[in-house]
Amino acid sequence: MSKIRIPFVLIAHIIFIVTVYIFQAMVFTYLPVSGAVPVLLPIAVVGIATFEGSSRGGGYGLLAGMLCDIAFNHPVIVMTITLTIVGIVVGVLSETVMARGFPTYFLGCLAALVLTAFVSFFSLLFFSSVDVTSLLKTAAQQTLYSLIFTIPIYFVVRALGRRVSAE
Amino acid sequence: MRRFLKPRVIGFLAIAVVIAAVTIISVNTRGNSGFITNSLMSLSKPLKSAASSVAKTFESFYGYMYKYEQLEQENKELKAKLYKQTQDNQNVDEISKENDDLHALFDFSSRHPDYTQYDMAEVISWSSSNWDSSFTIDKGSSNSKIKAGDCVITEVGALVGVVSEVGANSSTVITVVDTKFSYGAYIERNDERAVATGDFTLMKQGLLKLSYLQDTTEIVTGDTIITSGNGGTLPAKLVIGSVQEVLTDPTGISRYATIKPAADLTSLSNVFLITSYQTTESGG
Repeated sequence: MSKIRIPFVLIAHIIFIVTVYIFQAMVFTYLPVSGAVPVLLPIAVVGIATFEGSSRGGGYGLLAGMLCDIAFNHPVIVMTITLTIVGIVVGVLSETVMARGFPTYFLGCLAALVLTAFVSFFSLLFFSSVDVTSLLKTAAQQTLYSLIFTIPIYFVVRALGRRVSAE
Repeated sequence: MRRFLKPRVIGFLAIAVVIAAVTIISVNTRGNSGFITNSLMSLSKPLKSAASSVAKTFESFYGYMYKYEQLEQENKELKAKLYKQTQDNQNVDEISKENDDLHALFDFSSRHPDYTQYDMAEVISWSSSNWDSSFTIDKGSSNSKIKAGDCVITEVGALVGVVSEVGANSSTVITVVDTKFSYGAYIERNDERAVATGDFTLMKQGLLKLSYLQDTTEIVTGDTIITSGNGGTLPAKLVIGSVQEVLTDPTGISRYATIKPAADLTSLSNVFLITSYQTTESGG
């Protein structure tokens, strides 16, 4: 009787995304810096897309986006669509024109975080007539705080990417 | 007789007499130990100690060898008992807190017979978004009569927020400082009208805004702001908060006030929902 073998990489990916979600939704929510909390899931999506390509990036983006919407108390759609697109686009770029390394990953993270912030404050900007300066200040704080976490996440996604290539 | 009194016999007799004398001298007539007893006890004490120590070592070794499993089992049982006791104590604390909350709510509800139905909910998680102020509670359509628009209060009746979305087992509540919060309000002291709204900049400071103040409106720091109940969207006379500062708009035309919410939004664990109430309007 043959055993059903669950791939190690799949388990590692699940553990990784759940850990990132827990840190974003349950740890850093209570550790704001200047009133801003970091957003970690887009960084994880960019990391996976950079090192594992567009299809995995897209899939990961879909899952991470859903979790992000849950963490934000949004209806499951805004961040789900955004992060799926981010995963696919960054994956395609890393497969075609960009080298798979830290610069690509970091630029991808920066772009994803700016996009995430814009998507988040879009409705406030156009429907709630909130002061633009306040929104931009919060977006900058969120992005800068989140960028700190690109470094530890980089080492994890690179290790996962190598494992995937080896298998 | 001569044979009997040989020098050896005399010697033995002398020794016997000396021993008898010493014994008699050492015997204590008052019940205390005598000289010999004391001397013997002093001499034997280290020996007894050594023997006792050896015996204890053997006993503990025996215990270790033969009672180890029994002790291990006993240890497990004691640990389990301790854990259960700790859990019980924790539960008692929680029940006590819940009881206090319900007592406070009972007092509040007896002062407000127009609020006809309440439900209690637990705060599950807060939103990790920088763009709103909302949290999730453990009541949804399957386990409560909760509906979107129901107001959420503390046990003392301070307004926490409004239910924005209802799921099967959980619901989302926007707090009074969220930008989507905008309801009619009154200044309790003089019944003057205004609108309490969430403001993005003030949200970061845990405050909200009282806008649409008329030129003639008298408002000072510390004034209590209550819900108006206008339009039936929220029950009347719920305390929103108190005025922290009265300011003028950047345009210089109108004034507004910043309000500190009456509910401490940073330490919410249990909240109450007013799921049904009779419409009344306050102030006016």
